[in-house]
Amino acid sequence: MGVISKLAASNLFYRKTKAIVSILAVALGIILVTVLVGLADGTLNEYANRIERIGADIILQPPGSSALFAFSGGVLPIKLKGKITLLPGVRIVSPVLMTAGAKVKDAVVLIWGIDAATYDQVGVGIKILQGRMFQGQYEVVIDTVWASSKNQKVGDTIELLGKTFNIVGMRMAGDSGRILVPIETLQSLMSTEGKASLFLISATSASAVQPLVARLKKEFPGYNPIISATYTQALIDNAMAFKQFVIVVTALSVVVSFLVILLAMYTSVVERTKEIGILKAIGAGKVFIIRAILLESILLTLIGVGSGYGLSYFTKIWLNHIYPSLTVDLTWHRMLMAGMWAMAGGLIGSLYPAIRASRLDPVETMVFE
Amino acid sequence: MSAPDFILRTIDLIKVYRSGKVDVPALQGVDVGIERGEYVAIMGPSGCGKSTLLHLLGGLDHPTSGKVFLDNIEISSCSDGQRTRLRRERVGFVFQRFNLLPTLSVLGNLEVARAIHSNGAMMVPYGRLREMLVLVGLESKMRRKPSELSLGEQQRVAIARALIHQPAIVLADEPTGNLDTTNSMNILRLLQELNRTLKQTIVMITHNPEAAAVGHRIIEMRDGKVVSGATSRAPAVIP
Repeated sequence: MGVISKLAASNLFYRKTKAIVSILAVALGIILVTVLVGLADGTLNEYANRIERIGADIILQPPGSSALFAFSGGVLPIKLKGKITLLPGVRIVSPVLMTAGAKVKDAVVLIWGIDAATYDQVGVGIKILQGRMFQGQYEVVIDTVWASSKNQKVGDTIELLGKTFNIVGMRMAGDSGRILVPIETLQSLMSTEGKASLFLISATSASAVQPLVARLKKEFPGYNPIISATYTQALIDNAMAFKQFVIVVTALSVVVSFLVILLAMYTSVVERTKEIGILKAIGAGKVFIIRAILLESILLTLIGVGSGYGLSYFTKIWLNHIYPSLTVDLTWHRMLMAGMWAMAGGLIGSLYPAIRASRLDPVETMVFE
Repeated sequence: MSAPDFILRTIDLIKVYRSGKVDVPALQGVDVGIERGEYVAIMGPSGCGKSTLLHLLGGLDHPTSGKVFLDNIEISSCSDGQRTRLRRERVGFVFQRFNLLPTLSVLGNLEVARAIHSNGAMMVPYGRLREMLVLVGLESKMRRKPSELSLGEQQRVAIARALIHQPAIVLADEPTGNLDTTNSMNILRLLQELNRTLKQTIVMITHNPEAAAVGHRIIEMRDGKVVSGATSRAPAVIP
């Protein structure tokens, strides 16, 4: 370790409380980016994966919608199903109505209204682990994650959208909604009779998928047919709000790092005015002083970033423990980006104190107490 | 009789500070010359301009008018950067309050000084640190922090730091001002030893006549002027 690094490290840990508070504040910026964006990322990916894992070939969404628009309830007329079914290359079409905003047992849950007969054939099908598929109007099938997080089992009842439902089956988690109900029931409860959120379409063969997408675009101008395998990317590409959210959260993190390091280094320079004056008196040039201050801030930010990474993982584990149905995606590139922005914020924040320190007059600082 | 070999020389040095709208003269035409290998004490009452003169001699400040020559270089007309380089290469400072870096050990303080003085063409060998610690008798305490040392020991570290780059001149601003009698005597003995054995030029500010007596010459100042100090004499022997 170089002498300036040693000086920077010793200065940093000389005032432990200030160092710890600054490190935690930088870490908070990292957590803001990684966990909040990871949560948004995870929710999007989780949603996309749920649709991809169904195994349908094409997802057809309403005109002018982004991929994310499908969250918002029923806007597609069910009667389109007949027209789609008649197109060449179509094997089966299954409508889905979904609601993401329903609060069940104090948690927001993804409820899917499906047509059991077509849904079972459009993809890989529904694997019931316990009980059976719903048959009656107020019967539901729940997935294993929901069952364990809410301590629910087959035979129990739950309140959904103001009605009491019997849990008649439990299936493996992974695709579609956490709770499946008959589409007609959900339409009735959401007052969207005859409407769906999207259509799941299965083609007659793999080679029929691309021509079918082209045909759907031609037959239903403005509608948004997406190949299931590319759904995740389409979802992210179209989610403008998500991108803006990422920018805002990242900017917040940079501002937090900038202000924290600015304040920490500024107070540090003021506290050490005499010390800096002595260094200048014995011959330290401006570059030496600036390097020492910048190194200290880089060290502070690096520890903050590292702590932020650790605390982000801890937060993810804690969130998964408290809310098992939440997905937080901590990706290395997102974490790297958060770290780099925090470093940039820290570096910029320390520039002014460093330059100020380098310009201190040694004679004036000698009498500073 | 040969011409004096001045390492430091001032010509009609004037320094005026501005306090609000009032000019406060700190130095009023000071002419002093310090010869190579001399040990000179500057004495005088508070406010007579001793510290101002020391700052100008060391290139920490620039005069209102007049000239300062350090090793035949006129530092009074140098830029801040040039004066910093001259301090780094040719001047060693010892302060009344020691001014060690509290976060670093004794060795760490010397390492920082070495890093500063090794800047540019000059390179202080690492072995010089141990030599200095042996010289000031603190080799066994080199891992200690300044707060774990006595005041006298802290001042010895400051002296080691000032000598690390073998400066042309050591400028000491009341180096015993914060010390008790025993520690003061030890520091004065050390400075005298450095001057005698290494021919180190030393300029020391002091209030204490006994401390001033250990030098070859005493320059007395009053009201920003030198009132006496031309004659050399035998330094006092420290008991």
